[in-house]
Amino acid sequence: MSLTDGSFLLGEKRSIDKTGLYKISRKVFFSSKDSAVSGTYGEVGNEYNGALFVGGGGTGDEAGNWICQWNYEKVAGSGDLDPTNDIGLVEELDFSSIQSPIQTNPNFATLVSTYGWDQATMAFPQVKPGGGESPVFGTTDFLSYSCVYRQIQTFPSIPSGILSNIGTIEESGPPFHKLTDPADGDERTWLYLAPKIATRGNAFQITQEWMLSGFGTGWIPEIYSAESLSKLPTSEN
Amino acid sequence: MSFEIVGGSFSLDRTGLFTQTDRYAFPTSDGSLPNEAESFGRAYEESSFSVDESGAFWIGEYRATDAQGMIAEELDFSMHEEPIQSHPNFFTPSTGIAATYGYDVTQKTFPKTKSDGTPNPLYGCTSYLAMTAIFKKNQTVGNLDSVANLFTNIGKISTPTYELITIPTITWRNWLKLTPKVTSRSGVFEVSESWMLSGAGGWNSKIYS
Repeated sequence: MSLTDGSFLLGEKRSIDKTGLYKISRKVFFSSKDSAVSGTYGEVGNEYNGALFVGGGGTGDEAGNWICQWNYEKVAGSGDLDPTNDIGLVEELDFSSIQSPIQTNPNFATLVSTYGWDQATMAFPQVKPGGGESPVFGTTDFLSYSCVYRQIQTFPSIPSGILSNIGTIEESGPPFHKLTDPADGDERTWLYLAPKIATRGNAFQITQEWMLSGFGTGWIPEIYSAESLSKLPTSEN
Repeated sequence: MSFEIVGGSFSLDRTGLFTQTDRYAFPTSDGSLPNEAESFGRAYEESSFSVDESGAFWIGEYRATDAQGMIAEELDFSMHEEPIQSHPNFFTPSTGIAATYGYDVTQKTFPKTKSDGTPNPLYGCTSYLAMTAIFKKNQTVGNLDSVANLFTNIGKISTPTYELITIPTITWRNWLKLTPKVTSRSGVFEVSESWMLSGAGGWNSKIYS
């Protein structure tokens, strides 16, 4: 049996990843390199099953037969998604230890009243106010931790407002699904970071992140509220 | 000199870069390797040769490129610290950061306690966390003139020329065009354009226009 140019071969590969990105790969036959190349070029901008062509490749054998693989990407349909089983939504709570200036410790005032503080040198003195060696002499930092909550999803279009509140306090906290808020019930607040967006066929893979404040007061509204950050319109800068 | 095609491969990536490898065989009895650019009528980016097991043929592989009008875009986040004094709300009268937390202009520090005697959360604070983002547009073109304004407005305030990711207007942030990266690939060009999102208040028009 001979195949005509552009015949789709049996079998194709489909996958849906955890973020809801749907990928399709098809195999196509061509009888010459020129027809394989022009066939592949002709696929640019086309869709298959609602997924946009994102590239491909081909391999030719010594007899001049060319097998091409064409790749397509789209967002998975709502029937394919199940966030409760981690399909279509990736959630992460990413904790990390960081070294912070000792002045930012929530108990710094107590440390100062206990061990003293030299305002001129911005350091703890060698001797405590009541006498005796200070155990914090030479201490400039302390180990605190930071936490970033991350959501990765694939969308058919970019949600509105996704860029408008970058760097501002998210009063209601991130929209947790399976994970729960580690700051629930305490004074810590969340800061909305800038998203990462990448085109994937006719879909968009979007990573959104929120950063948890340290203990004490939460993110300072005078610095991180939308109202404070938008005091200066770009037209006046 | 006689030669014959013995297969090959090609790929087309999401930026429109088409790469093909042609495989040819020609007799070793001819005594010399063909000048690939002249032999096949086009410029090849790279070539390599090996003698087959029989010793009768050179197998030459020639890689060529082409451009196919596809674009990939991405927006990526970054974070850095800015001096607290550069915050747009720093010197707002009565409600700004300096007024609320008693900034000492002479010492350039915040005091240990606020005016009401409560602990000052900004005591020791010298910077704040500023967010930004880089928008990148990657494509492969046959002619650099087909990329509008590729070499204009570099280092200046400029709205990204997006095609896929719609960039909304934000009244308190704007974009700075960064230097493009252009890589020649044997007759076609890989072009990467990028723009950086400003911090709060936008890029200073006196510096970046």
